[in-house]
Amino acid sequence: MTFQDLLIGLERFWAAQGCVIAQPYDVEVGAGTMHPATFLRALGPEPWRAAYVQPSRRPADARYGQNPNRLYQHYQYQVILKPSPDDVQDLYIESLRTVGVRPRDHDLRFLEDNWEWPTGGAWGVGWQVFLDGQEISQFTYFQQVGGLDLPLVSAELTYGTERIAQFIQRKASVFDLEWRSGITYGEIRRQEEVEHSAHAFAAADVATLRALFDAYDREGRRLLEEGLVLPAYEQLLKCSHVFNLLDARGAVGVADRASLLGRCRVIARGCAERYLAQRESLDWPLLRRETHATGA
Amino acid sequence: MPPERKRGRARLVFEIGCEELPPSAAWDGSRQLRELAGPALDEARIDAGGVRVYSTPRRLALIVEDVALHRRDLVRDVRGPAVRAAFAAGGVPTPAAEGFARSQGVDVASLERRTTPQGEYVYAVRREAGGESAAALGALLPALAGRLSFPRAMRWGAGTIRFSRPVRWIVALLGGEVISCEFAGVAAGRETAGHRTLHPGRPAVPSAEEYERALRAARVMVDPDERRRRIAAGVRRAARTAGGRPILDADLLEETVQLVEWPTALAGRFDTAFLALPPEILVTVMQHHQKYFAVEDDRGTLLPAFVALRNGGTRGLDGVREGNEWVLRARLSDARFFFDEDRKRSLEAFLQKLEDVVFLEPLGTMGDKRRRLETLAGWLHTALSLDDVKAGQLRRAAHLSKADLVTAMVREFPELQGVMGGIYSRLGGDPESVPIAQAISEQYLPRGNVLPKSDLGAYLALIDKIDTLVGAISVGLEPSGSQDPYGLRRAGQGIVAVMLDREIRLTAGGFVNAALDAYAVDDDQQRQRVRDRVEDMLWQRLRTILLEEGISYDTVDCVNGWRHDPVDAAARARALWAFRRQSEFARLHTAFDRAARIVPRDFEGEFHANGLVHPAERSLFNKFTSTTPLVHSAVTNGRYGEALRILSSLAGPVDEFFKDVLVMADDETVKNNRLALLKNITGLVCQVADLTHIVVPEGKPVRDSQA
Repeated sequence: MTFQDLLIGLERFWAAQGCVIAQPYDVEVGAGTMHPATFLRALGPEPWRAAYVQPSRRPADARYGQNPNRLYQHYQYQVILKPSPDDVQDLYIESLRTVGVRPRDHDLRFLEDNWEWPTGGAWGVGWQVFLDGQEISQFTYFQQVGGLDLPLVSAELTYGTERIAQFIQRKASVFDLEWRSGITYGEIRRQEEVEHSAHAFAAADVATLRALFDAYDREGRRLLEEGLVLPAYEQLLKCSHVFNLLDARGAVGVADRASLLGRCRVIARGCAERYLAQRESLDWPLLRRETHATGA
Repeated sequence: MPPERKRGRARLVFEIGCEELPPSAAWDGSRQLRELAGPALDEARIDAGGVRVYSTPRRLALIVEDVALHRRDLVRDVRGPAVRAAFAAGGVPTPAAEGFARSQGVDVASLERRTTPQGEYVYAVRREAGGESAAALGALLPALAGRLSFPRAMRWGAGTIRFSRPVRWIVALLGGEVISCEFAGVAAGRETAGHRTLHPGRPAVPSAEEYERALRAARVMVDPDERRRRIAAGVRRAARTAGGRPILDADLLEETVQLVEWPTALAGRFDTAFLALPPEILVTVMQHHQKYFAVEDDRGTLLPAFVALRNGGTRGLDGVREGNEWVLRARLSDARFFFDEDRKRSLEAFLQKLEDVVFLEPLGTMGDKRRRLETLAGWLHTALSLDDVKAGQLRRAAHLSKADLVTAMVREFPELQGVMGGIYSRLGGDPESVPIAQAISEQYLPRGNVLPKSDLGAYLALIDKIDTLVGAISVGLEPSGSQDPYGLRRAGQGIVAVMLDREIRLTAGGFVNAALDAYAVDDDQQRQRVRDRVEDMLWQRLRTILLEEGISYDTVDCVNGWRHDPVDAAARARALWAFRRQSEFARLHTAFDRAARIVPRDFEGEFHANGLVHPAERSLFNKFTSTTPLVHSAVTNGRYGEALRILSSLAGPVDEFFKDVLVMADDETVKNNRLALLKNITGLVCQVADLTHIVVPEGKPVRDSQA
């Protein structure tokens, strides 16, 4: 199964489960969780199901395209099911079957792993999913987002698509994966990895990044004041990415780190609270017009 | 064959089916079930036989044998009016008696007369029929499940119940019957769940008797003891096929037991080139990250092999092996990369980066901590009169102790802190480095029962912990309840354990002062507060250690006066505990107790040898005078058992004294002199241990049996 067939298989599977097939968010993020379709939609009483590919950037994991499984950017496949259905584990296992992993032939484990994103005031409880000793997914029941309790608990499934593809295709290096038959992942993405690694570790101008952080932070708070929740949230995402670049560049000191993350947190919580107020003032649209399948 | 059941009894099975529980929750939840079940059944008046529990990653199960199908009747005696008021002349019940009988729902003729210390009263005997156990269990079992507590409980779906992981099915059977009940929105039935991959689906359990068998048929070994045996045997066998024996790490084994419902061990291999890495790294990667058992040969040398546990059978085992080998190869390649990166510099070269690493938020950086540890190493040099060579090595070890925190290896494998520092320091090639390297690798001990093996390691462990403890307490980061995020209790426990293990005599106050000096805390009030608090914490840890040795509470309380010197206090408590089980103890204690009771607490009188009038008091004084230097000498040499034996020779003369002499003489001078003599004697005893805390079990007042 090629890399693209894997992605297509997951899209089909989750579409059949009543998920909105969302598109990747077009602002740099470190994880699919930060896409508003997860972070914001997890709040409040409205049911919601969505699935999407999310390119995720981790500047500190950049390796100039030299490491067989560490990347500046990888593709997460993200699924959010709210409320978490009773058969959510079975659905996940079924999804693996559809992309060619037959659990009976393997060793499938759910190993305790709790998740926390302090910047977003978010935490959850769940597992890392291991297949024959390899971590292939993260499985989380959100307990709080934006520092707020959740009336409906969401299940979040995050597939490490490259990992799963490497597993299926038996490739030791991510760059050897067949993206489509005859074209490798490396042929498409390696140069990107090299250049972004150089940017993250050497070329990024620290003074510019600092100025950007300040600007995004200021803008985020201003937009929040004006009640523009999503534009403010995008400024937060930009702050977060700039912070990650500064960190990879080795430019974040001790006290500095706490203060920069603290500034992000203020906006994240503000966005969560405003978003909730906004949905309530709209009378929870998805609650009235529930069009989602409620589970098999 | 199911065991023969007593008539009117049946087996109870209560299985809480969950999504994969963390291993600690499976162990802890099942333990709680076992502890709660007996008292809950008894409270519900349900007679039952043995209670046992099972647990797997996906279920907690309570098994109770011989559960009575009918509950015990409740018989309650209720006191009514006095007989005088209840019956008129000729035994005719008064309105008071009739009203009472009516209020209790019994016939007035059934009232009984009973004599109590307050006089004669009428009693109503109320009897409530027990009814069927099944109905009561329907309320009891969900309540039991609801009482289980987990450190990180969660909610799921739209529910409000909290549990370790979502509850997906409940089996509740009494004999062959389902007990109707519900927990966390799940109705109980007889459908359990089979092994996730070997037997997916929801097989029915025909009856409680057949629970284990039904699960086995569904490829679940529900008994963790059985799984542990199977795993240990399977791992040994697989290691043998790889040409060696497994390192059966106890923690890993316990964890593994709760990661599989049907274990199959398999051996895999890795490239021998990786054996060039230090064995600690290989073992950590295998045990901590992949949950594999490492394999060694007869001489304890690592082999390029591992044993993994698969949750399942043998189907496709080669593929599973290949997958695991592939993952391990990637992990070890990473480890080698980090190791090689770190080795490009000396350990010393990492110190600069410690200036950027926070220790505890308000307490500065790891660089600051490193400098304080060097200061404390200097202080120990004097406090313990270390020779200059050792002191120099300790200072060097303190200097380098935290450098590994910023190495790539420790950032990737945090559990290797200390260990990596030891390895890098050893590989640094300094000829003097062996004891220094060992000290660095031992600084985070004790871990479990593993204590530092070297003096230097013990010293470094002590100063690392006192620095954390004093720093955290001085900025108000106290542990509260079960919350101890900075591991302060563990630090305190570690300090006491290391001191006792190597008999390191340091006073708590002096040690805390040295740490406070290193932090440059100069506010006297704050210093006092921290000293008191830390001394108290160390005393609490010492108490715990002594109690765990089996020493009684009151014995430990007798040495509270020496809490400032944990090693000394422990020696006294152990000696007193040994002495308590000898016959002389009772005599010494009786004599001490009589003397202590008669001397008023605030008595200040002076003793004058020329004021002695009676032969018995003179003889007691002589004995006291001859005994005193012997006791002093024994105490000075720390021979507390001997001191107690010597003291018990005073018991005879004290008894004689009380028999022949009236302490509370009319003559005030004589009386005060006698009290002063007794006070000197109790004072001498108290130089070994303060026996006023001893609780004598005999002679407790018999409790009034009347309600």
